[in-house]
Amino acid sequence: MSAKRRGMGIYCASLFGFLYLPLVVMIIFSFNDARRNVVWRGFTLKWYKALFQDAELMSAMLTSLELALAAAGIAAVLGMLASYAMVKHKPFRARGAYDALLNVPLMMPEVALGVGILTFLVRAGYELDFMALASSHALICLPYTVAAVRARLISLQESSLEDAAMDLGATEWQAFVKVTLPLAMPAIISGALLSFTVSFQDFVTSFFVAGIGIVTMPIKIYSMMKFGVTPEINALSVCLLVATFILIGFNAAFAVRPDEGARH
Amino acid sequence: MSEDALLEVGPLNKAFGTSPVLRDVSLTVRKGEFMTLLGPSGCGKTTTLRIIAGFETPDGGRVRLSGVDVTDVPAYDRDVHTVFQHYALFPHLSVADNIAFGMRMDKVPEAEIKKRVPEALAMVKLAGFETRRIQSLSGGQMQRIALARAIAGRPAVLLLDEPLGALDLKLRKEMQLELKNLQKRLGIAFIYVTHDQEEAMTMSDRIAVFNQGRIEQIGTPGEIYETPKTSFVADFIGGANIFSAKVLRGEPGRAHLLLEDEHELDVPLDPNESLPGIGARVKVAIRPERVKVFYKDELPFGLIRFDAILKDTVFLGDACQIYLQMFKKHPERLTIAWAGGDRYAVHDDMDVPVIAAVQPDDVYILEPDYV
Repeated sequence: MSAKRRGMGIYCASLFGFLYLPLVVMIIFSFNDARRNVVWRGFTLKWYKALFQDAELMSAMLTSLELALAAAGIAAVLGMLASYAMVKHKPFRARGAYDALLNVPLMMPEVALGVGILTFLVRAGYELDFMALASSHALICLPYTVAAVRARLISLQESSLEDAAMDLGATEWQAFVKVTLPLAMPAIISGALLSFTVSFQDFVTSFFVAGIGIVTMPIKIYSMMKFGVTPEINALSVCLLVATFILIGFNAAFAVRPDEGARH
Repeated sequence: MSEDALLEVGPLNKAFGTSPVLRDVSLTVRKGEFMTLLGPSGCGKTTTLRIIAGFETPDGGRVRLSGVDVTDVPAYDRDVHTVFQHYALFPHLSVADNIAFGMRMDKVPEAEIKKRVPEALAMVKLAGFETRRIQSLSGGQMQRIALARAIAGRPAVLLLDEPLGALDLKLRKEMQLELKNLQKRLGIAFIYVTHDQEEAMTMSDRIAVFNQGRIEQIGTPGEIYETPKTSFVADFIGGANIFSAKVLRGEPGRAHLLLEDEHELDVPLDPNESLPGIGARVKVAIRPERVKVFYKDELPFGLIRFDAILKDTVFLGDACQIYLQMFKKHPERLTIAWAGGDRYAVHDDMDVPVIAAVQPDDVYILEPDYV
């Protein structure tokens, strides 16, 4: 029994080690007072300082934030509407195909998607501007928002809340705005947060679709990497890591709210 | 129909896909009446309610409320409110805002709402609950709030879709009487959907018994119980022994039957009812509690007497169920009799000869089944 437990312990430790040790190394070396990542020379914050003084990097950061915000916003609105259509309406023709098509961006190789979007935009004569990139990101994010919102809408539907609102005199629009939307909001926000991280860290699609002058954070990091992994990159990655954990925390706070449950 | 008819429905037809769920359902509800739609699940009672509420459109038939055809009027413009099976309270609103929801939609002035919310809460005995969150309520309290929300807007008709289904037995019994009292005080017509025949008997002014998308019988609880028209009604309400019989001969007011090919008996008929043709096969119902069992050879005058064999007795606490074999040609067809909750009625002996007896007017000739 105890040998079995110890075996289990070792297994878990090595699993988590495999997953997180590289991150730990990265975090440690972001504080290393040396140009190269091999030897420890003492603690410093200078890489972080350099990071925030790098105008190009900061502008890439801003671009990525704006992009993620726009993509998350578009995906949230579209995802809500798509889910509402799927849940609200009685099974319509080609419903299965509709469901499957919404999930395609999740499974399709991003390279194919990137090439496809680029070809389409160029053929359509559309300029490769910020909105083009934001829309492409929204496309990748859509399956995440749909997944989050649809589950919530189904449980709302089952508890006949919209019927109850209409029974009490609310028009369909009032029932949607006063009952369904506020109750679906936690799921919409949760989906939007997920979209935000998906967009923020996206490299492949951005790489294909970003026109001249649009440099997102992952693209910037990639270009910096051409000269090897510098301590600045370590520091930058640590910043992103912290930001991601904060977002995950937010997401958990919004997604798990048992007292907001619509069903009793 | 009649002058005090508030709601007239019918003849409703509705099919989901190819399967019909309502066939010629017609119903009239009077002002201040407690009407129950009773039947097993899938019988069409909830669909009828949803058509009255405006959530479903009938394929055929009309809904008239206070003399106005509302068939094509959307749910939010109908003067009916619904109490839903799972309450459907808005979890993001307080108790007061839940109750005020309908009035706000109807643009009732806030000052008036401020007055009517506590009134509605007092009606359901939850005064002072205004600021409570929905999640903090028990099942029984949610039920009352759902009721308060539905009556606060003073609808002409209140629809209730198995509102007590999720409550435990004791609470359900309490709520039954309370609902009935509330309905009398408010004077609002209630249309109440349930599959529980006891609930229907306790509360209703009239009951419409549904089966497979049809109304089999509409009547007061007494009428439904005392004179069930079909074998479904007889069996669903209170349970019944149903036998097959052949009409040997008849005269106005009485019929002479051959029961299960072996017992001849005279059955009085309702003078309004026409006699089934001579030689016709009919179904006959006898309530278990109207079958008397005698262990000794004593027979009060005027009863129809059967020689029977006692097959089994089951003591149920408040009653005793006795299984009898009354027919030699059909020994597998057992008759059930109910005796009072007397432990001495329970016999340990099996296969003893006894006498089963019924009053002639406790034998009902049923109409042929629809299906």
